[in-house]
Amino acid sequence: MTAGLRLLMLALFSLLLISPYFPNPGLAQPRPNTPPPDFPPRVYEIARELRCPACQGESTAESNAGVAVEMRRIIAEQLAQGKTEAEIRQFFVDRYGYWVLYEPPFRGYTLLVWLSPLIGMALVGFGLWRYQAAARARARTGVAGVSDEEIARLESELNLNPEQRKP
Amino acid sequence: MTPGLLGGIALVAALIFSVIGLVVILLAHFLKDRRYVDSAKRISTLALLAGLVSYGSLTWAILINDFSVSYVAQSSSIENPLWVKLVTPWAALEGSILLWALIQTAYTWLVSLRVGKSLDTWRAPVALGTLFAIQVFFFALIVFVANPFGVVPNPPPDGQGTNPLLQNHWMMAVHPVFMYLGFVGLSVPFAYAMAAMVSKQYQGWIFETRWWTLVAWGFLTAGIYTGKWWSYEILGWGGYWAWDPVENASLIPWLFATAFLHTGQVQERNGLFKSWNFGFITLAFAATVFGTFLTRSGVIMSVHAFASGPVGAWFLVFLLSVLALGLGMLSRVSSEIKDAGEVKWKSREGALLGGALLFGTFAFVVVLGTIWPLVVEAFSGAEVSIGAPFFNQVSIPLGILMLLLMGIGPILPWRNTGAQVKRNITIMLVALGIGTLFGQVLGLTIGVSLTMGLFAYNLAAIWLMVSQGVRERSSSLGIPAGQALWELASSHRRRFGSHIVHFGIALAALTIAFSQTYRVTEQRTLNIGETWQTQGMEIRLLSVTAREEANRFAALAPIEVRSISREGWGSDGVYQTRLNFYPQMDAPLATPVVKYSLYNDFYFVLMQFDQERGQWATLKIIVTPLVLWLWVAGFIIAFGTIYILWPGAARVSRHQMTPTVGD
Repeated sequence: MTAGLRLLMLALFSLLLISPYFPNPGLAQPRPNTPPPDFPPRVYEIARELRCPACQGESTAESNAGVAVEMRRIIAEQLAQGKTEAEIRQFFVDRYGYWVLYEPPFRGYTLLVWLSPLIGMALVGFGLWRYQAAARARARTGVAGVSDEEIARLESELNLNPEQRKP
Repeated sequence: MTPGLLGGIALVAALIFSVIGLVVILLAHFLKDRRYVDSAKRISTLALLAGLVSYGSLTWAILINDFSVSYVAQSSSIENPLWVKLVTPWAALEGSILLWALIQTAYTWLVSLRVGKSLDTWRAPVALGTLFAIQVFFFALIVFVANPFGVVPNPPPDGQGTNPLLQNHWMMAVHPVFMYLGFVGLSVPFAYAMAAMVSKQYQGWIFETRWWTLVAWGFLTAGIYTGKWWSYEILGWGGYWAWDPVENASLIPWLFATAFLHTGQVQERNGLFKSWNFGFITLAFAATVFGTFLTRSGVIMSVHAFASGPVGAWFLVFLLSVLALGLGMLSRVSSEIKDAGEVKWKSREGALLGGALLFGTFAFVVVLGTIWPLVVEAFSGAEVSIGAPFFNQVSIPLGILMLLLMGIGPILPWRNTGAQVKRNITIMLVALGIGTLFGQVLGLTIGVSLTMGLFAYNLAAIWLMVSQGVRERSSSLGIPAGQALWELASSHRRRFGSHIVHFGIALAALTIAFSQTYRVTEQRTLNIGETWQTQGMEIRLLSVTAREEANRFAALAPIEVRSISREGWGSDGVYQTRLNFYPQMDAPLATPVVKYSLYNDFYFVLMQFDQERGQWATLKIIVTPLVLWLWVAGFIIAFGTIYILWPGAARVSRHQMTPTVGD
């Protein structure tokens, strides 16, 4: 097989494979053999925060799916037009909903997630504090220094506890 | 006998042995007859052998390309090279659960060997019973829901092939195995905890499972690390941690296990926090099942969804039973566990509790962030994503607090603080200040500068602890410092090992701060012969060719890179960037070329190429600092863990920690 023929086969092959990745008719499919535009680092910084709509848990920066490639192109285009990062993000939110943002909004249902470190710390901290208070109170009044297990062992050695006699 | 038949029979045998083992051990528990324990021990050996035969048959079927076996027909191919065939058993759902079950039988068998030694005959039935019950679940799942030995009536001439993502890097051969060894390993301390709660002996298990927990923790750490490495070298996006739900699922048990490793020491020392330790180990084990549920059920979209299947619901049932059993037992006995004592915050115990607070909080955040999209969708129908930008931001304050505590904790003595400690902490804080200032002078961001400060602070803490111990020993015994260090390091493995692990963690934190902050990604299309100057490099495209390989097509675009300024140091060379096309894959797979250097990593990915004339190629470059050192940190953590576990060290004092000089 000549190199040219192989390339042609590859081309057909990849065309066949890439095609299911254009579920959104709003996005025009670029001709397969035109080079994609160049992307400066800023494009990837923005794309990293956007979810790829057609993939399983990948960001627009990572994915090679057609939609992601197209989204990167749109980001580059809008950056070139002088739009701000917030405007570009809003553009994609308008198109795909808040789902497209990897960073959930700081309000509504997802506000709780943002507060989760504080909630978690309060919950665990409260538990620790209550535990400490109880243990301290017991230390002041109870039989500190002898553990339940030691008492149990003592009891079984003294044969007071027939249940635990060696079977 | 065909491998499919043999494997299927062995599989059913393993299930039957597990059920018999469970019944026999329950008899031992209720009849209080030691002879049943002895038979259960023998049955655990038989279950292990049956598991080995079954697993071996699957490997055999893959090696001889027996496509009448359903798993082989679905997940293997004649074309696969030998090493891929050897790892194919865990490349898809059924086989990976079989591996899981096999590892479980091995752990059960190892625990059965401890009966009569560290595990007395009163508690053995419950501990072994718990492990047998887990084993029954897994084998039943394989036999009835996810059987790899299904019979294909008309065997195809070739199988459907193995997931290409898994064929691309040797790391994939070890990552799942480490992961399972860690996940399954946590079942052992859980089983001991159940035994402790049933027999109402709340203290001893913490010494007995110290080794088991650290083994499981070590494997889990190694599993997470190899996963990061694979992600970095294969997935082609220049990162190693995406906060993907399944990655989170592996982090959650790690966090609980780490919390348990730390609070367990408080219980060892003065019998406190018994109920917390039961809680942490139950959550750690439950989290491994939760992780599997997320991976296998497909409820959450993830890169790992390839292994999903009909088993999700069963894992949910299993998860709920583990939680109900563990936490139910805990609430039953909690009124009896009456710890008495006081922990001062300004003491080692206090710092360890602070650690528990942070690890617990972190686990809570990761759990909530992972499942919240599902909750929101269930309640409001709205779809939201909670991903890397969120987790990265909330991890920063928690990470800073952890690094602060990690330095201070080991330097505080048990029970109280002293004058020397205040001096040490002053020195550490000075190191923190100098490190941060140094970062600022270099023009780094405040976050990265602070991480440099925290690295210096932790280094100072370790230096102070080691040097003071050595000085005391050498002056009191009149021996040279080198000998004193050697003696201390070999007699206090646990303490020295923890210094090594903590150093590894501090180094990892530093590399994470750098690489997350200063990663640069760029893409450009080059014609053959054209050069591109960026990030301190000059990149020249040499050619574009295609090649047909055994199990794939490949497009190759070799490039020549020269460094032209400080940023690009270490990037020089000729690299073969490539796109691989696998017949069973929807999209081409770009395998990045990674060139490590002492500072920057250079990452070259072929994105697209001229399919008609081979005139141009589109390249993505990613430059990330210090990732090499992240892997170094991983090896340091592994070394520290092995240092603690190395035989001879754990046996010195099983029930009593010898007081350390400067402890």
